[in-house]
Amino acid sequence: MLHFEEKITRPLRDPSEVMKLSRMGSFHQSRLSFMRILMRQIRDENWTFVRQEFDLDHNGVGYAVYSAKGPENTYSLVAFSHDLPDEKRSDRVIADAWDATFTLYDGYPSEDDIERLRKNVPLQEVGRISENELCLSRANKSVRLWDHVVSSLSEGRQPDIDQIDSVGYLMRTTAVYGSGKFGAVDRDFVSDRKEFAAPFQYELLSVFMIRWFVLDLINHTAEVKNPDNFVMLDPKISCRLGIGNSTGLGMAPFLLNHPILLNNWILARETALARVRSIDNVLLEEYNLFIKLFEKSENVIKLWHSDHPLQKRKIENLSNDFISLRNFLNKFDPSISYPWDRLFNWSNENLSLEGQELIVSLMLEPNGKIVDELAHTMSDNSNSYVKIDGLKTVGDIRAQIDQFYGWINNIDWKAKESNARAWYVSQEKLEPRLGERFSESIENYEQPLSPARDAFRLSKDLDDFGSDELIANFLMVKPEHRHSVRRLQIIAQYPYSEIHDNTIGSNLLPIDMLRCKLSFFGAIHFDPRSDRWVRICMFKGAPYPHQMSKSDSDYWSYLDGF
Amino acid sequence: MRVSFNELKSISKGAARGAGFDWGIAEEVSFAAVWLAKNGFNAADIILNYLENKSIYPPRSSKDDNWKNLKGDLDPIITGIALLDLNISTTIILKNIYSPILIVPFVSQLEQNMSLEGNSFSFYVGRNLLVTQSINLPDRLDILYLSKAPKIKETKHFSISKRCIVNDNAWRKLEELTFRTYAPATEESRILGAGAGLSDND
Repeated sequence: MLHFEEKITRPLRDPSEVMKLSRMGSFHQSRLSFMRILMRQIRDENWTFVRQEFDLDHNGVGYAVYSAKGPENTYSLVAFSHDLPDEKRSDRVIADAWDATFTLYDGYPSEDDIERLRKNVPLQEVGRISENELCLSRANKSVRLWDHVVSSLSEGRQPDIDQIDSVGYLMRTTAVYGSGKFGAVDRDFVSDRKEFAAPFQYELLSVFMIRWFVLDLINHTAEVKNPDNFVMLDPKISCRLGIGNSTGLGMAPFLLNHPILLNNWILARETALARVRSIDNVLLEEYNLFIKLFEKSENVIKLWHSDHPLQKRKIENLSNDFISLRNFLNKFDPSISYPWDRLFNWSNENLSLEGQELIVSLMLEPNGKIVDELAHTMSDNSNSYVKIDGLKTVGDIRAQIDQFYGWINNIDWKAKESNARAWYVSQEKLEPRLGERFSESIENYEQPLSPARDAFRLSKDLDDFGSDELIANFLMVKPEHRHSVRRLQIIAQYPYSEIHDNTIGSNLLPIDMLRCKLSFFGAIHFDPRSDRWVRICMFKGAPYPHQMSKSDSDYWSYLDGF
Repeated sequence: MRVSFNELKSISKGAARGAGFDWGIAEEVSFAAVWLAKNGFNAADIILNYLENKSIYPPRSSKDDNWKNLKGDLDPIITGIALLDLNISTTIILKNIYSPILIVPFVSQLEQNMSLEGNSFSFYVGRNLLVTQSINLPDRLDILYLSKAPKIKETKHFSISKRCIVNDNAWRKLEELTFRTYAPATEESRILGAGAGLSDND
């Protein structure tokens, strides 16, 4: 076993730098992203994938079952395909019907299971699944691309590459629910399975298999339209298609509600970065791989389209970063000592946040042997109750607030703009929303998603108590601060567990929170559709399940072969 | 009704908030609910019964070994939290305690194994330990003794089912309490709150 920690000579970046939303909202996928981890596992363990059932009629209505067999367990994607009128198609959580609905079954489903699932899965949030199912999801067609591909294939020709690339997927998921939601199995009961050691592995396995179903569905649709002339989608083109996803505010509070998990993700990536920066001598083949992936990244960026003004500007900056980087790298000598560290330092001084974070991801790529093992540190399987240490004194808590929340004193909490927003859950769809505190009647329904303001309130109320008073006694009198004291005690142990920004300020961009989480999933092509929902692409460039082999590249996410 | 433990956790937290508790206390209620369910108790009924009772009080003082409140029965969640916050390892007498089973999850998290003894109510608990002969849980107890447990040889391990079985009626009432935490929908929230932005069907 190698002892990397002893060799780390470069420090981990400070949380005050990393945990700003502007930076978290510029993260890119890396080899520690959960899709990348899943694909390595599937490849290395030689999983087998089989289409067990495909029973769809001429309108594409019916069901299909696909199985994934690993060394110890088998999982089955059960897909239901529907005939959805165009006017009912919506990415929003308020939708109540979809083009296709899915669940991931633990094992091989029986006929009785299929019947039970047929009555529930198409209803999504209104139905119930069981402890035999791992997750629940649905997807809608991209009408921009679907009809073009169907008509091309049915007329015997391949679709237009530019149109394929301008959208990037045929269907997009609009929710993938796991963790016991709507009756699914609790994570605790499956988290000890080796294949689920890293976070979100079964949700992403589900999405990986949905992409396969979508490929079969488009070929089926083209075939039934014109059985005599149709052609199958060329594998070179299908590889260019990922699965889209629309994500809204439902995901944003996740990072606030799971501070230990957030810490574990960021800490793994920051540890990986520090290890790489601490490498004294770099092998030429590793540096050449970095250069190759740098070149490929430019293709990924060229295919990144967004109409959102903020993201458009960020992509423009990133394109300019590429010009600066190319000039720098042309003169760069990788045989100097600590080349990664030098590159990192140069990028911090010369590139936009998007560019800096892309370089971080790229530097990890040739260094799998010291990075990949960190995948197993990214979960939070303790799921244990975090009890409050009530024997700490008011003075101790004051000192901890100063140490870990010192930055909140830079915010003027008396100003309206610092309190402009409130997170709440709507009666309509039971999903988180973000409202205007001073113009909507929502304050009474506010969710505890403003840790900075709440820490500030705690610090003010502590002023009325003596330094020697136990915090347990303070909390008996002031129970409204209990969640903040617990959080403070978590944050004191986990350096990257708190976002260092005001999550209720008028300048908050929830898309930054979404981007951070989705980059850890492994998503690319972030396309904000407003300040609070975003479209992305998943598994673009990846092989399909039934095409996987031991020789598959680890670098599919750089769109090898495009 | 069969639910996941995560669903029980969410609904207990929401229902406690809906019943008027602060968020930090609601987190404690949801912890207690899941602990009880995992150990085979009828968590939804116990939590609902607790949330619907308003005439219970925090211990007036936790500075001696005799905890009580002259106004009425002790609140078992607030009392349990205080015991845990203070990491009690000595003998404490709890006078007039309501729904004493709700103390047990918190006592189970103390560093020492502890015993809880009252009239036909007897529990030995620790982090991964639960021994009890109590079948019918009392609504309240005049006196409950908490003390450091002697060494325990016999342990009873409840098999953890993957499901939590809840009474439909209790679950519906917990949902109603949770519903109080949700803001009524307005057209403004429908459009702005979720961020309408660009087309979502293209």
